[in-house]
Amino acid sequence: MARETSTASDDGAGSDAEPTLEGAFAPDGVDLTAIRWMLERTPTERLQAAQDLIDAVWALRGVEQT
Amino acid sequence: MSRLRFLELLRTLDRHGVKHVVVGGVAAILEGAPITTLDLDVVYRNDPDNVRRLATALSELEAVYRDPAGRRIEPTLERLQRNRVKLMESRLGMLDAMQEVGAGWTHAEVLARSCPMRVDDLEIRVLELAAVIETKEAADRDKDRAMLPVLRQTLEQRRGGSG
Repeated sequence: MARETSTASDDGAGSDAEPTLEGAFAPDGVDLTAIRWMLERTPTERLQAAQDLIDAVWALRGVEQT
Repeated sequence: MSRLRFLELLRTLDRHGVKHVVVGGVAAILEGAPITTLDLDVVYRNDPDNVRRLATALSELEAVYRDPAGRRIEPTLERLQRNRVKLMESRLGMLDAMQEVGAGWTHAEVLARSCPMRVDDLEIRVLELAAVIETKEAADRDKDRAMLPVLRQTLEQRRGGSG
């Protein structure tokens, strides 16, 4: 409910907000935002994301071959 | 090379009743690691009935061994029972069917470290991420070592309550 009533500036979407990399990477350089994105998905969605990547590569290969 | 179709491969194994546990990169993905992989790795139960079911599934998949010499070698019952690791190519992509993984973990051992998971309309067993990490550490190949930081951070994030 709080999300529904928040204003643009409350959730960082206002014009003054700037993106930050703080907390985005682990000390060893691993992208934590990608991990969090995956963890928010269901197993089916995670597998679909991997499938989509493979499909995209295949599509690109097809373009290159024509 | 055929395009890899994860779900269809899993569905084929399920339809033939092959007792198996998903391991490797696909297990890591299902557990939430943002990685990619070019094959499906499974550890199957090595008993005659299950190997027969696996052979039938592999036949439907038109699977052959990925042979460095380029020979066309099909996975017969005898070969499936004799060889511990089978690296295969099928009409739905690459499938590695193994009797053991990591530090010699058999199906019973990976089953004990697996969790049930619903993927689309399938109920499958998937090796837990901590155990996937152990198998990668045991394998100790460059490609496994390269993946380990992402797997460890994913596990850390999950333990931190984010997953």
